[in-house]
Amino acid sequence: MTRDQDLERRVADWLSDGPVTAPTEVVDEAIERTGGRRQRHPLWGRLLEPLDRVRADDNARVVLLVVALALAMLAVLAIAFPFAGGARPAPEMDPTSVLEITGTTEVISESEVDGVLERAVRVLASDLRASGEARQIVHIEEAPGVGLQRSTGVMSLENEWGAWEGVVHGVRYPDGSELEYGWLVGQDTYEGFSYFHSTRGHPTGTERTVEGAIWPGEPPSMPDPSLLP
Amino acid sequence: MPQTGIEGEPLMQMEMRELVDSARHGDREAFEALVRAGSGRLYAIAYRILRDADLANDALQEALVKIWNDLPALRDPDRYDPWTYRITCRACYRVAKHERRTSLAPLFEPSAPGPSLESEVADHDEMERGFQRLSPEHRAVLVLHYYLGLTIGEVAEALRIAPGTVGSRLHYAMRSLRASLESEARITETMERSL
Repeated sequence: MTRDQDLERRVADWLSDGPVTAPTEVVDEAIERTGGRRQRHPLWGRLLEPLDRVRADDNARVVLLVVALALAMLAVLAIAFPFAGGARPAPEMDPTSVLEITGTTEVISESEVDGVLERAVRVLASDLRASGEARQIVHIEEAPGVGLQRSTGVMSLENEWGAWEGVVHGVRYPDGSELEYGWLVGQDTYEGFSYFHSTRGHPTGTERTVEGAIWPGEPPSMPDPSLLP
Repeated sequence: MPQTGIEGEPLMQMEMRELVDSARHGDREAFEALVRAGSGRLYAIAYRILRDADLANDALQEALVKIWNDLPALRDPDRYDPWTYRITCRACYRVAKHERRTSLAPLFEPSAPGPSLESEVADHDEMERGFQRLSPEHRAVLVLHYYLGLTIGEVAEALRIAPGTVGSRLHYAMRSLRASLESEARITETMERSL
């Protein structure tokens, strides 16, 4: 059994341990809460329902009236939609250019226990695609004799349109400054793109500066981090 | 799909489709039958993502109410199950986000295990700590894949994300878990050597 298979088996065994029965009172209460509620019918359902009725009545005049009403509603929506707030449109990907990105990060939470650093940061970048909430779990190791620490771990940067995920490496200098980089793979809207992400932490202050570039295609192949000096 | 041991009388496909169709048109008895048959599985998912019984209760309630409200929008009754998984997972994300400031606490506190159980409990706790370091989105993918036994394609369909994203989240989650477990193993080894 390989290491991966062994871990998969352990995860599956561990997940199988736990409750499989919903508390009756919770289910009863939920059913009771739905008692006085009307279901939400989607717009398309409400538009098609009168059509179904008039088709059965074979009343051509009513059909025409309903169709006219529906068209009128669609026209109103088409005019009103650009002025409504709504969700921001997903950023478009440019498949040919490499985009230079700058920004800053702001720490949301950070904990370091037994050489494992877990950090959540808010990234405010010049490009919406590289902004969002980033989570990292990295191992920190002391480099003997030189006062440096090196880190290797995983990172995900998510926002409302997609995510970037991958491996990050870094170094922490004796004066407290930090340098970190990683090639992250795009998900959802960003699929097919990679993002080179680097951050620099300064000796004073908790804010880090971000530099990076979005790249069409896969990240370059990287050597095994354990082989790096 | 390994669903043995999960509460709820299994419904035949035909019966299920009829119940879903009736519930979509406002039949409360049909909805109740669906809920009684499937709430155990949804609770099991919520509990395993949130690792807390109270939070799982909140998520399940929110999910069940939303299922009732939004049922008319479900166009294909055969997709009822993955649709309910998606609603439940999203309810978990919301509950977890709300609770983020107070960290998600493990439910299983080890209670003075006997010597034969020690290693099993230690393994369990290590896994619990590793799991708690993951985001709810990564936990959801692990739960749907390794607990419910859904394929990557089925998880992608249930969560409405790209199969590549499922693969990447699984990879990230497993890598993070391995890192946590190896870190704990190193600490245990160091402690044992120092004794």
